[in-house]
Amino acid sequence: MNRLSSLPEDIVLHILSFLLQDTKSFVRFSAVSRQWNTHLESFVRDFFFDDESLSPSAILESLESQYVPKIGTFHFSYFPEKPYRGEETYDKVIDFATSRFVNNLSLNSNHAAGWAGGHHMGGLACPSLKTLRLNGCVLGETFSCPTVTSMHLENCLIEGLNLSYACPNLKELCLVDPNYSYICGMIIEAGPKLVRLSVEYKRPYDAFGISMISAPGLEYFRFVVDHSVDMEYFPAVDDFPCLHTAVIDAPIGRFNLIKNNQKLSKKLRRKQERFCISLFKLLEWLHKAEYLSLSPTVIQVLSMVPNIMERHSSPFTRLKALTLLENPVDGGADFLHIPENALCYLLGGSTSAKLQLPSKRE
Amino acid sequence: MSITTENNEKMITLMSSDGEEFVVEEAVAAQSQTIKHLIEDGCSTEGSIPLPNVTGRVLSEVIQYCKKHSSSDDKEEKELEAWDAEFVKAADDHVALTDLMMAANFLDIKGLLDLVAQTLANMITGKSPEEVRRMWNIKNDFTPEEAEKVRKENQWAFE
Repeated sequence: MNRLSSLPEDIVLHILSFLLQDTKSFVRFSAVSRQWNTHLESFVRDFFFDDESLSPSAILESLESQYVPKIGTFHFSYFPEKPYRGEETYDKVIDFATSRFVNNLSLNSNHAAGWAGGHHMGGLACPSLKTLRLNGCVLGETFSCPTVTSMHLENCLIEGLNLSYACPNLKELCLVDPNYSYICGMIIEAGPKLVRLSVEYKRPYDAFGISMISAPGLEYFRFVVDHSVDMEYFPAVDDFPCLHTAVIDAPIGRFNLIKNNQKLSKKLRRKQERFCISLFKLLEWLHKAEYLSLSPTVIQVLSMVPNIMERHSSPFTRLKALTLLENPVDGGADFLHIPENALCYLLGGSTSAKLQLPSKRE
Repeated sequence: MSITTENNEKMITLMSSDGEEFVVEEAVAAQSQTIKHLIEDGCSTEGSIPLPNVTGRVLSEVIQYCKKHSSSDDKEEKELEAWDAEFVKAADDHVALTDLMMAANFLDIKGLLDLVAQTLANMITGKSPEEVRRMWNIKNDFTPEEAEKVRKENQWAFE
């Protein structure tokens, strides 16, 4: 006879609620049966602290007075008035979340002082932690998070960090406006498990940050630059041997204006050349891509230097499809015409490559 | 509602599912919210209160608990805790505790319910899901795919 299931549901729940202090047992029992699984799920709590009017000490006090066995998602936004003043608060909050086996941790320490005063991340040895979102934090040699599989880093200072050691299980990484040290630049060295990487620049300055990317297992690479950002260099990438899909959505910013003006100073002309050459290099590094998506502006940059383009043979020998992205600012309509030499450069390396144009907007 | 003004020495007769009768002070029996409501509704005036869900063996244990807890006040909290520990120890195994739990639930005695729940929880802490299933004869109703998914999501807890 099944003694326990002869108990009413609320009684089972009551027994299980006494297990809350031992989170490991608590979580392990979710595998006992469907009924138990449902019961245990009901104890998992999420926390969102986004209200700047709450003082961190009040938040900590209220957290410590609560009986929380397991945390699903924990979001904490806190901007100390002066840089380096919030370290203790962040550490306490992180301790609270990790000791209750958080799955998704999100910290926002971005403030007027920029990354200079952001929280210095230490080691996050929390076995349940799967996704990490950090804004305005500093990730250096002391940072590590062995279990994390997905990371979103916005406006973080990345310095002396080797991801293949710090986060060996990382599968997905998104870098938004990464900051770097002027001394050593920024090197992204990911382990073989990283399959998706997205790099986005939104800030209207200082777009050049990553000096090197290495990701031996990467299948998807996306590079996005906001229209207000002037790109002078693209990051240098190590060969991506497993690359399947590459997306480059980069505008030409002021270079577009320069071209229209036709009167280029020597200095600007050199900048434009550097930009074009680093774009060609990036495309060559992405030569294993089977699916390539480009913004119309990228093609426009290529056709600004027809002599360079015609000198290069197409790097894309495995290409199956080239997709033209819609251009959100210019509407893309003017760019739908792709010059013959650009077509030849992008599609000429592969016999099966097809061109896909965006559907026309009404 | 006259019951609250009567003195504590009024006696109540409780009858278990197997026909055993227990005569207890009303204050002791009223630790059970269920019995308290029955008394308030006037059920105690005609002979004994029948408790169809509780056997005599379990009821005698419950009464033991209620007697102890109605005679103690807050000053003896430590002593009471020690007594509680001995009490659940005497209940011996999880089958007896489950019976006690069901009785405490039916009779609505919060202190006893929490005490037994805590004891049962302590007994399963650190056990594997298989051991817990065996202990309570619970059927594993997950499909192999679901079981794998649950295990994978919480892999760290199994290590």
